[in-house]
Amino acid sequence: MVACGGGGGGDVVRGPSSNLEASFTAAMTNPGANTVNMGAGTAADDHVTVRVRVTDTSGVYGAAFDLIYNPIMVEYIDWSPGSFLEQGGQTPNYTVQEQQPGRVVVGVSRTGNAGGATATGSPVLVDVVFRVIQAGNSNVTIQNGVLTNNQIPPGALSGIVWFGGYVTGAEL
Amino acid sequence: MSIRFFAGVSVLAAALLPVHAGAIHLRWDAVPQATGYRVYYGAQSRQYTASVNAGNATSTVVNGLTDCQTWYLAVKAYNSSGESPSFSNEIIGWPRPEVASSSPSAGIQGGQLTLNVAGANFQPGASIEVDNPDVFLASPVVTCNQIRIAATVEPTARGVRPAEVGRFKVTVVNPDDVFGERSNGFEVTLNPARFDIDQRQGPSRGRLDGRDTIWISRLFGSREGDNTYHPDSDFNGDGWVDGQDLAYVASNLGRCWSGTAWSAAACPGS
Repeated sequence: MVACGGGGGGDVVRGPSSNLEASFTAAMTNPGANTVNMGAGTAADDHVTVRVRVTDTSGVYGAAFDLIYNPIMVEYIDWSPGSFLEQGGQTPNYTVQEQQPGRVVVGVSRTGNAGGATATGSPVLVDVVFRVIQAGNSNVTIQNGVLTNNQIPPGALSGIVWFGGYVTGAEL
Repeated sequence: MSIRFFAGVSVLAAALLPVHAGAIHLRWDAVPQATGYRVYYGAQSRQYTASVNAGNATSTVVNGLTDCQTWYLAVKAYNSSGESPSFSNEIIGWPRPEVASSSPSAGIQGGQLTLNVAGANFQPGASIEVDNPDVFLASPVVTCNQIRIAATVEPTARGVRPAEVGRFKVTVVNPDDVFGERSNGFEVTLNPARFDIDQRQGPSRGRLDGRDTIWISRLFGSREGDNTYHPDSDFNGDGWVDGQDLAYVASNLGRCWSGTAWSAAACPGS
């Protein structure tokens, strides 16, 4: 899926009702500077939004990563744009695709000659919605993560630490 | 050249037309007091065995000529007093080239192939062109009904401008500048192996992911001639790095290169 867009997100898309209630727990509740971390967004019934945030990092032009999860426990539903790379009125390119159950490939980037964005605090890079399909915890981790600068070609920002979390499906 | 004949009527010159299709297309200068013209032709010089009345036009197409043979043509003017006693200068030529087909009919970006162009009336020394500046042709071997030629469809290396994808006209030009062409005679096809734009970065080599889309986004909106334009990101060779190029990657996001295509099954661990 490819999209260009801006603005915040995080609304949950409701799916078929189940007897499970979804929630998300971050692995790092107080991440420091130069981190990409996940946090809980809104949750409704068996759906939960995972907010991927960048904390106190400068010169971010793009982000690429894979979200890894247990497809027996949760399923990927949808994504929506964040607000971080929209900084300065930019309209980033979002490419988000579930490559296979258990792996969502994400690319978000500013375009053209725009400079890098600066995260002050923890603005949202992208929101991802999951649905729990089985009770229990399922880790959501990041692989192949990179934040890039605006060089040609884009170079990786060094010293970035990535944190995930886990989705919980609780019986009602 | 001017040839005088009776009643002050003269055919000033006749020539092959290089720009029109037809068996042999001939034109000549108008002659004062002439009311019409007749074109004579035959397979031997000055021995004309047939003719066609062009009326008062100063050009005509002579059809029905045997292919791959030299024909000799000359013009006489006429009016109410009769036909001029002498001919114009003689025009010598083959029927115009006809381009029937190209085999293969397509070539992938980065490919090198031998192109066989079939048709008729290809003279020794004929040249062939594909209407795409990044398809290079060399070393033609010409026979009357076929031209065999080595074709290179760019890019054959990173950093080289790619041939634009699409169907392009094939033209055969004989040494006398008479040419024949075939629209959509050769197709340049997209090379999906090029989509892995960041292949110099180890972790995602052979896999399409966000790094590739960031790379394209960085060059997004650049066009050929801009400082930021880079041909490796212009997958379809249209001179722009744009949404089409991004879409090629996005539609294969997360897939790995199998050697012939992008496939999720080709990814390690799948």
